[in-house]
Amino acid sequence: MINSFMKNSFKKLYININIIFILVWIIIWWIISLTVDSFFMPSPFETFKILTKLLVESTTYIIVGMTIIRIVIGLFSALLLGIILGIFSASNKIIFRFLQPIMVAVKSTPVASFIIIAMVYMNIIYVPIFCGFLLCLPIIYYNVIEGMEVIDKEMISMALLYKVPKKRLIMKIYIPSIMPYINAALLTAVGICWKGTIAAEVIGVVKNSIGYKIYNAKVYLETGELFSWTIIIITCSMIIESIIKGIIRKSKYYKGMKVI
Amino acid sequence: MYKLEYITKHYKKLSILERFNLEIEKNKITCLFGPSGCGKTTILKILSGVDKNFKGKVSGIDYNRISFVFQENRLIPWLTVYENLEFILKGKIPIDKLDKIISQYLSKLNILEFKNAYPNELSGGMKQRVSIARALAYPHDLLLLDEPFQGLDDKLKNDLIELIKKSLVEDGNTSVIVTHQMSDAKIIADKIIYLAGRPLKVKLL
Repeated sequence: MINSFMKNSFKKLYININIIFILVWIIIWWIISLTVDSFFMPSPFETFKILTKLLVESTTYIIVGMTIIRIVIGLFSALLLGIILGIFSASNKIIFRFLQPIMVAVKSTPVASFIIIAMVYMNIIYVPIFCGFLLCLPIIYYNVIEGMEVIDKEMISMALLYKVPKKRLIMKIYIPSIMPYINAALLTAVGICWKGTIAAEVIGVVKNSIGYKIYNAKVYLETGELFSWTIIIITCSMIIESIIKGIIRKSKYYKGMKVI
Repeated sequence: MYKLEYITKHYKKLSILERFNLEIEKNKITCLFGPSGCGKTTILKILSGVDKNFKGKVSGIDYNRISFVFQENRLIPWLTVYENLEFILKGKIPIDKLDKIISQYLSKLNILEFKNAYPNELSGGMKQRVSIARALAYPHDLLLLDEPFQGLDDKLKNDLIELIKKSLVEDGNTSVIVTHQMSDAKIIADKIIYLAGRPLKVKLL
């Protein structure tokens, strides 16, 4: 009882300290904004005013929703293909070697190159999805391979000795074994997918997107709006990340293991 | 009779078995006794079909009816004790009897109250008991046990010996036990086979 009380107090203290630190950074931002022209750096109050104005407009939510849909499509198609290709590559060296040049190329190409190359070949509305997908694919692919490689061979030989059917073997040993690797990949990929997709929206000037709003703010030199949209992006990214973390924590396979 | 005939097994450049022969009588408890690391586990692995990388012939074995208590418990960490047994027993035991059989064996090994615990919540000895319960519950003709008494106190050890002997009498099973403790071998075995040397040879006691 005392222990849980102390734990809760520590948790509260931890959250309070976090809030204090965020306030400190906002004060630093405010001090800097006092020393320069508001055109270069709007003050936190000005940004907050623009942000509240944006938050009462329904179009803001449509725009955020459209960008989130692009991110989700990119991320989950990368997840699906990454898992399938990862499993095949880990089980067959020839497939791994065949895919290796492509994966290395995808992994090392800068985002801006992807975007511009993709713009040449496809309709502009698909470019952000494609970029998010390409950025996430190698992360998930290599994590699945790593997960497959560390599967406990002794556990497999036990299951084979007791003649456990293949389907049960896959569902109860293979998938749970690679699950932590997929989860870790997903957490890394979601942040990268946000950045890549919005970068593609900015460069491609894709209508109905957060990127388009940022592009306009830049063209019309509206720094306040630029800052507000950035705050919206950060908040959305944090919310999505915590939703994914929540799903991972609830996952059945974590009960017998340590939660990350 | 289960037979190993002219088995040759190399591990890297090390010759472990060289034209090795062994006969195991059915309905008996045979104890393979010898110093640690001499290759006793290798013999169990060859007998069970876990290790297929050898030359020679193994005969008399129905690979669908083998149970193995491994040296390491080999429990699945994300499944509970109950689910670990269910994992191998589903499809081998009629579904309406499954729960009864699992509970019966867990209670025989004194771990029924932990049936919903995960392996990482159990001590080493308890995990070993789950692994033994799993092997005993699985329908088998041949039971292979690799150092099964590790981590068990004297009472549990005696209970386990009783269980193995009982299952031998009731179901007509055959057991092969690997141990490096002569005292254990003497208590449990109908026949003790002393193994030593490199490559491994059957020695007279």
